[in-house]
Formats: sequence, structure tokens, C-alpha cells
Amino acid sequence: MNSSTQSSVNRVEGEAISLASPRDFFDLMKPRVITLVIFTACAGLAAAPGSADPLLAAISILALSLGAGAAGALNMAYDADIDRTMKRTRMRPVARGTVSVDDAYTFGIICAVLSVLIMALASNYLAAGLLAFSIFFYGVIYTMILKRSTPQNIVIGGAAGAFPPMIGWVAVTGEISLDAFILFMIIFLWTPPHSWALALYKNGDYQAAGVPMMPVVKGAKSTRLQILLYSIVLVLFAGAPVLTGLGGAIYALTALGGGALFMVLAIRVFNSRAGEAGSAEEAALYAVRSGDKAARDLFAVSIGYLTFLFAALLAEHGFGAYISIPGVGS
Amino acid sequence: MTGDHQTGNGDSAETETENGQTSGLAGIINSAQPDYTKSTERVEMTDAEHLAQKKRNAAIAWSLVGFMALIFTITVLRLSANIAGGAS
Repeated sequence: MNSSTQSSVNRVEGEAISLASPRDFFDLMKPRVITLVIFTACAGLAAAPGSADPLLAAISILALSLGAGAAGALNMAYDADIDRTMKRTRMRPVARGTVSVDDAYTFGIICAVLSVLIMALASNYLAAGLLAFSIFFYGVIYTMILKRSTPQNIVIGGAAGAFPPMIGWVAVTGEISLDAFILFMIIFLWTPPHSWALALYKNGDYQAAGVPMMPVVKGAKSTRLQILLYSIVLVLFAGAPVLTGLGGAIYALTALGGGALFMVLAIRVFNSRAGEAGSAEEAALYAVRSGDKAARDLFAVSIGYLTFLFAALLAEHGFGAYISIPGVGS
Repeated sequence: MTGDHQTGNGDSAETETENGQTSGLAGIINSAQPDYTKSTERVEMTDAEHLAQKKRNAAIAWSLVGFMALIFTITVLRLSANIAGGAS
């Protein structure tokens, strides 16, 4: 007789015992998103004037990651119905039924409380407050209200993803300055062209799920135009850190080169028929029909663009590579 | 007067509805009780269920240990900084 089958529990008729593993709960936290959160937060933390204890700074980043994970778990709990219908998300733990909706909510709320508590202890109350607000903004304002009600969902909701570098900054300085706001704005302006590029080539998925993404509501042509307009504003605004002295020569070159590539791809998307051929056949994130290739390329490059911008800041302020540009900056 | 008024409310709070359920305050208290009409049975867990539960328990235990270590570390670092700040 196998001893492992000896455990018994009281179980209400028809109620299943969870088979969820710790890995499923880890997946609830959207680990891929967390890596970008950690990265941008580190850049904000490194770029901030002043110094913080390295261990306390690392703990602050950990708290931020936990908070981002909490927001992801709340999102997956609420959006399980949508996720089940979309090829890209149907294998998420709640969507495939491995983790129950109640468990996902409980996990999300516990992580949220702990993350804010740890942030308050490791840095300061303003950073903790911003973290609490960003979790609330993503988990409630974006997920429960905006996402299903307006095509501007990711424009407004993009603010949630823009908080990490600002929180990193505030964790060191204890205040929100112009440079912290600039870092926030770069991600805020980056979100629409990035998300709409994805929405263009996964249009069918969003349509089937009833999510009012821009291509679903306004059509592919209008979305391509808005991608182009937001890209122009983003690329121009990405130069702001150079003007304030936050970004040095490396950042300026990265913003210039990356911005040029971003614009070329945005123009290609504008001139393409992306979003009009329907959704991709494959479930994979980068799988597209030939007509949607331009949108897929912009989506992929946009991730690299943001990564390089913040990597430049990290290199300049975290690794002493800052070279000031004569006559520019404060 | 006030007492009469409260008694009146109390009476109305315990009226029984047509389908036999108690409404008002008593109804709320009753609804908070576990539903004993549902049958519960002691069932054997399968190997997979048992293994999953064990893994979750271990993860929770490690998380708690990590959390305690984290709080301890923060406390020591904060105290050190304050002591250093006071000494200078």
C-alpha cells in the first residue's frame, strides 16, 4: 500500500482538491513582465541622485517585483474568462483551471500587502504608497474597469507599467522630481504603440474575447495612424533626459539610433495592411501572417528599444559610464 | 421610548418568510453559519493531490522563512544606519 495515499481530508461533495504547484503560482505573477519591471526600476534607482544601502535597494526591488506579481495575479484572476478564449493566454494557470479564481485573488492580495509592507520598511512611505497605488491601478482601474470598457484602455492603463522607474527613484530620494516624471512618461508613451502593434496582429483574438482594443473598435487603419503618432511623440520625448542632464552621451546615442529604428518600423506599420488579415493562426507570441509582419517587428523592437534606453541610463549612472554632453543639461 | 423602538425593530427582524427562511438580523446570522445540509465526506487524496499539496506547503514554509530573514535584515540595516547616524 502506498503511504502517500493515506492522507485524507474533509471534502465537500463535488469539490476538487487543487493540483496547483508552486510553479503555477509563480506563473500567475507574469514573470516575463516582472523582468522588465525589475530592469526599469533598477535604472530609476541607479539614476536617482544620492545613495542607498545596496542591500536595502535590492530589497526594494524585490518588493517592487512582488507588487508587480501581485498585480499580475489579480489580473489573471479577473480576466480568466477572456484568457480562456485567447490563444495567447489560454495556457495561463487560472485560464486552464490549475489555479482557482479564489486562490489567485487570495495570492494576489497577500503578495500586494506584503510587497507594500516590505517597501515601506526597506525604503520610504512615498515609494510604498506609489507601489500600492500602481498595484491598485493595474489590478482594479485597468483590469476591472478600463480593459473591457474603452479602446483607450492601454493608454490610461499604461500608467501602471510606467511606475517602476519612478518608484525606484523615489526609493532613493524620497521625492518625485522632474527626472522621475520623465522616466514615467517614457514608458507611458511607449505603451500604446507597443500594445497596439501586438493588438494589430492578434486582432482576431481580442475580437473573439470581446476586448475593445483599438483595432477592434476603430479598425486597423486608424490604429496604424495612432501608432505612428504616438511613436513620433515617444521618440521626441525620449530625448528629454538629455536636456535635463539625466542622460549622457551613451543615452543620447541610444535614443537617437533606437528612435530612428522605431520610427522606420512605425512608418512600415502605417504603410502596411497589418491587422486587416485577421488574427495569427498560431498561439505563439511572435507567430503572424505575412501581412502582419510589420506590426510583429515593431512589437519586438519596441521591447528592445525600451530595454536599451534604460540600459543606457543604468550603464551611465550605475557603472560610471556617464559622459556629459557639452552645452546640454543642467 | 428608545427601548420600545428597538424592541419593535427586533420583532420585525425575526419574521419568518413564506419559504421558511428567517429574514432580517437572524437571517444574516443564520446565513453566516456553515451549510450542514451539504454532505461532507472524508476522502483519500490521490498521489498527485498529495504531492501538489506537499509542494505548496514547502513553498509556503520557505516563503515564511524568507520573509522572516528579510524583515530581520531590514531591521539590522536600519538599526545600523541609525546608530551610525547618531554616532556621527
